[in-house]
Amino acid sequence: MAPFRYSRHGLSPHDRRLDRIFEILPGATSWSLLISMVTLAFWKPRLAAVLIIAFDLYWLVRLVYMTLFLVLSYLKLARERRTDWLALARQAEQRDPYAPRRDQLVHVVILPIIKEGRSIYEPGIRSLLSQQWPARQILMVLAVEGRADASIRKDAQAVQERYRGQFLDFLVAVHPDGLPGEARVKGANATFAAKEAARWLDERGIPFERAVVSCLDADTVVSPAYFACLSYHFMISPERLRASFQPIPVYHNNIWEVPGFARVLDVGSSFFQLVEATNPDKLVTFSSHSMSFKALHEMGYWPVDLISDDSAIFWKAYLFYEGEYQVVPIYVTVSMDVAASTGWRRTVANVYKQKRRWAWGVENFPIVMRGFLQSRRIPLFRRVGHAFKMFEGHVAWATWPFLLGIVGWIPALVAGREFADSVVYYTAPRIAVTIFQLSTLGLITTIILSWMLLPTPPAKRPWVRRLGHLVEWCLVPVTAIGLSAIPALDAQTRLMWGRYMEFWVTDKHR
Amino acid sequence: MRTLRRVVFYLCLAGYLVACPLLIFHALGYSPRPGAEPGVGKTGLLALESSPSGATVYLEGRRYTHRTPTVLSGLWPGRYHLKLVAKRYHPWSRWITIKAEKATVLDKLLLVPDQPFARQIAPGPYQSLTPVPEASMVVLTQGPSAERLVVYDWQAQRLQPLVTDPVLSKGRVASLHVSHGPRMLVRVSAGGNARMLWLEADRAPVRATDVTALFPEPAQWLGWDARHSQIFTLADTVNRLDVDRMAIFPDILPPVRGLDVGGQSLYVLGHDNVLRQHDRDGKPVHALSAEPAGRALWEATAGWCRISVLARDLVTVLGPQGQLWVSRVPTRWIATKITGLAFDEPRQRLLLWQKDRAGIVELSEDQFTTRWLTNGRDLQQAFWAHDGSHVLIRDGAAVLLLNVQTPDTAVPQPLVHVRPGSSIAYDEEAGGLFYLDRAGGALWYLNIVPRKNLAERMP
Repeated sequence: MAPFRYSRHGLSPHDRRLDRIFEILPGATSWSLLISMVTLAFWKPRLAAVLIIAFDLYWLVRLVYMTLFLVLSYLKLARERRTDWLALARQAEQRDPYAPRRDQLVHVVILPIIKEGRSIYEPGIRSLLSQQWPARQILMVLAVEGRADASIRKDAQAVQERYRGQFLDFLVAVHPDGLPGEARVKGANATFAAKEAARWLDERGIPFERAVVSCLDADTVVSPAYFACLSYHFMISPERLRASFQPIPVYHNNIWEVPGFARVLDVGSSFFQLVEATNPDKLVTFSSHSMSFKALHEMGYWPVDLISDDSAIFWKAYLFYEGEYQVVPIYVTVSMDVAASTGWRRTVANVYKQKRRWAWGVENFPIVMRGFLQSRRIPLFRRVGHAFKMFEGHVAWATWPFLLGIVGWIPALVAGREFADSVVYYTAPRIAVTIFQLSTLGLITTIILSWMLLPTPPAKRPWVRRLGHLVEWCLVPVTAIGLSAIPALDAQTRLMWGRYMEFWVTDKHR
Repeated sequence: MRTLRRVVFYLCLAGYLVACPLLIFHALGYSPRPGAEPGVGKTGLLALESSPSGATVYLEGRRYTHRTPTVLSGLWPGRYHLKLVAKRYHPWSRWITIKAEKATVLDKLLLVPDQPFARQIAPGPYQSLTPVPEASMVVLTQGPSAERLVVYDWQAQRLQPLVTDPVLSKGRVASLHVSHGPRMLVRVSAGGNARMLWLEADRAPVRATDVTALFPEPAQWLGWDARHSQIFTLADTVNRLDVDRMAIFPDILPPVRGLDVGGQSLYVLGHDNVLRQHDRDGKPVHALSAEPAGRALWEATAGWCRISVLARDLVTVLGPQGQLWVSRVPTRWIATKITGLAFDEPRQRLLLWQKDRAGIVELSEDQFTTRWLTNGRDLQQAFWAHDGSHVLIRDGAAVLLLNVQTPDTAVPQPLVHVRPGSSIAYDEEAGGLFYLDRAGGALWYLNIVPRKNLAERMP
């Protein structure tokens, strides 16, 4: 059987129909859920009140569950910050003769850019030079879009000149525009750069089994222990050639320079990844991450026609290897920029677009579902488990803030006389309030952890900034709806209507 | 971590599967039945809100920890004795009925203070008090002369004479007419001449316009609406008087049996026994009771009928024998021997009274039956109070407060005794009533709704 083609293009009519059904499903489910709950609130308020109670309790239980694992994950992150990964890697080498040798590992770091100036990506490059791991084992590839401004290409050349001698090598791969079969997506750029790197490795006789590729966002600044930690985990993983390695993304580069709502949202994203890291069986790659170069090469690199290359590469690998692929969480951070801009309003717009792009990961759902339907080797319970988690995750993203913040209160607000005379009219809001009061324990825990996770604020009045950060969390009900649920609903609706998104490069300002 | 995650997951799942149905049952009012018989039964709840808040709640003699406003849930269906106690207020108690899965809502309970808050506004002494409909004022008389006719505006907190002309103020007041709003007509006899004055009492000083020329003959009926300077009179026929232009528009309508002004329209019961809406020039706009059954009702009566325009779509007619007709039920009398009525527009209820009893008609229901609340001896006035939850009644000189939320067990609470023969005025925004005291005829304000104490705004 031919390997599954991870794309929504070039499908047979049957596959295209199936694809469209699965494209419509998440958005239709989200909208149906919201509309039906609103309709029920007017038409059958008692039933709506009962359903809302059931949902609120479910949300509370989920919150308790996630908070527990957030705390455990954070403690692990804090503990592993003190780990000497190089020493562990040495020990692993000594313990396991089959483990790859440290001095033979090559890290291929790909940095795709299109309009980012050197002020954006140069700090990231410098962070590679500050690694505990020797930079001489890092092959740096700056992947520049051919359609980028001449000034961007010129900057890239200048940076190459400046840092070449400090790395194993420093390549600048200029991705030609308009290659057949490609969309204007980051994945196409990264794939072209990876192929250049593959040629470089081939020419020097370096087997792909010894190479680990890291595709980093342009603004990514890796922690000094990143490559040591990555190398260690690569060395000890039995299935290292069928594994991705997911660090914890944080957004600390400009965290104190952005409005509070943006800060809170991105801390929330980091927390989500911390929680996900406790469940490696269901972990999916996100944003900057690393993987075996051999696996990347074997499966045909990143999809060149999908926007969400970071999650798509995992699903592509999972399907390519028929479920024999995993993501290994590594408890080390990579720091990126919050999607800020000049001015408050533009920051809102930027954040909205970024969250919508993240939510556009739903474009993987129909492809994955088709892949699961075709697969004969991935156990059914795993397929069902993954499919459910993916589907439920996207629907929850788009609907829960509405249900919690708005829809849940509609029956009480629009109560007709019959409902207003019922017991449940009085008990339901009191139960909801009690549940929300209990949830403040989770909120307090989150605030404390975010306080501990954030870097020290600028020297002037750090305690004031931290106190202000506490208050920012009170904005969560509003930001969750406006800058999380609505972008997710927007993305799902676009997919539902077949309005595929142009790739919008996040504005980054320093 | 995998194992821990699995364990926690199943614990949470089990917890949810147990807690969720229990919570839903609790929300719907289900509760384990006490006593020997096992099982689950449906309970009701009691929602209480009092004015003032913070009253201690006793149910069947048992004191509850929460004070009002509060919700008492998990109550088995049945009758309960409810008592509210607050410092410096008379205890409030009622028998109430709890029904399964239903909320018994008592959200407008008024506690009557031991020492009702009353404040003297003007020492008087005044002989009579006339409420002015659709205006925050009352007219007070101290004697027959015009200079002793004063108006008190409680929104402006202003007491001023109505007639300030130095000659006319020495005259005698022959008649005072109020209709809708802060304009009134007074007929003054001074120096052998009778003058008709059109008074705009919402100005300071009161603006008086001599409109004697507009009244060549006495009028049987006078009326105007709150906002326009158009007076409608009934002598033989209906005339319109334009005060601004000092013009008479005679005979806009033929003789009629009843007449009232609502906005820019006239509502007229003609001698053909059809109630019609006319524009201000007398042109017919709409017939409200043209069908034979409606006309037949009026054919059986004779005499003047009092028309009241209560709302845009609600007109009432009180016949000569107190027959009450409502435009929403054009084919029958709602009640008979009615002497007065008041409309609760938000809740679409009509408060009506006879000489010896008062009751309510729910206009939102199909049956339009009168639910009688209380008996009296000489019911003269009644008002809706505290968002329609109470009724204020003047029975002779006694003013009583009645809670209509629990009509079956309600007992009127006496508030104050007023000067015999004088009216009272109640205003919801002022939160209380205005009356002349029995002893000296002074004008007083008595606060009924604690959160709207007008006296707090008085100098």
